[in-house]
Amino acid sequence: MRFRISTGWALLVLTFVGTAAAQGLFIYPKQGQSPEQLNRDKYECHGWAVQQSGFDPMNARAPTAPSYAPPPTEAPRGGIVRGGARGALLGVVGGAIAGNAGKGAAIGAATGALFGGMRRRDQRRRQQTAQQQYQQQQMQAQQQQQQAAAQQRHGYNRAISACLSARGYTVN
Amino acid sequence: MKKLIFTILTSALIGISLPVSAVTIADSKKLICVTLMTFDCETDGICNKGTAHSIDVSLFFRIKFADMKVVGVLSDGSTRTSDIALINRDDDGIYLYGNQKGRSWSANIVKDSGAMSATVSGDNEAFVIFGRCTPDD
Repeated sequence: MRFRISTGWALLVLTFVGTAAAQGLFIYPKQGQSPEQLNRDKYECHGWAVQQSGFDPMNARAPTAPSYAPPPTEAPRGGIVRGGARGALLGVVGGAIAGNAGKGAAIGAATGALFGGMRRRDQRRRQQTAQQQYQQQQMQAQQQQQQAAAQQRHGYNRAISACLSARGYTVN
Repeated sequence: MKKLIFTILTSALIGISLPVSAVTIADSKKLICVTLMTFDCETDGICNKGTAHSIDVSLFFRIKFADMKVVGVLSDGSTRTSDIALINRDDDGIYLYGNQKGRSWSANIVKDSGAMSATVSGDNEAFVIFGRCTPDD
C-alpha cells in the first residue's frame, strides 16, 4: 500500500514536471515508447536541459515591472534653478527637481498650501516630461526582461529537444 | 383671478428671496470665489495664460473673514489653505494680504461687482489670478 502511494506520487510528479517542462514542444515517440517512459524521459531531459541552459521553466517568474523610483515632484516654490544656470539646466529634469515622489499636485495637496502650492507651467511641463521618461524606462526595462526570458526559454527548449531526440523522440 | 394668484405668488417669492440677496459682498462674512483666468510669469518676460488647473490652484475657494483664511477645494476633494495676514476695506473694495512658503500674495475684491484679482509673487515668478466672488453666508 505504501509502495503504491509512493509510486503514484512519483508518476504524478513525473507527469507534472514532464508536462510543464516540455511546454510548447511537440514530442512524438517514434520508437513506440510508452507514455510512462515518455514522462520519465521528459523529466530526466528537463534536469539536463536546466543544467545546460541555466534556465528552469518550472521556477521562471513572469517579468515584473522594475522597481525604479518614480520621478520626484518639483517643488512648487519658484527659483528652482537660479541665475545663469537656469537655461542650461532646463532640460535636465533630475537636477531641477526636489521633494518627494508623487503625482502632479501632490505637494500642494500634501502641504495644504493654497498659494504656496501653485506651480508654473514650466514646472508642470518638466514634471510631465519626467513622468513620461519614467514610464518609458519602465516599459523598456520590462521589454528587456521579456526578451531575456524568451532567450533563456529558447535555450532551454533547444537543450531539451536535443536530449529527447537523442532518446528516440521526434521533437518540434 | 389667475392673474391675481400669479401676482401674489410672484410677490411672495420675491419677498422670500430678498433677504438672501440682501447680503452684499461688503457685509458678507464669507465669500465664495471662482478662478476664471490665470497667468504665470517669469523673469524672462513671458507670461502664460491659463486656467486654475494650469497653475495648480483651486478653481473654487472660500474667503473666511472671521477665520482669516482662504480655503481652496481641489477636484480630488483635498483642501488647501492660506492664512490671511491682513484685511483692509474701503468703500470700493476688500483687500487681502498674506504670505506662504516664500510667496506673498494680495487679493482685491470689488464690492459692487465681486470682481476679484489676486497676485502671488515669489522667487523670480509671479502669478495673476482673475475671478469673481459672491457672498456665501
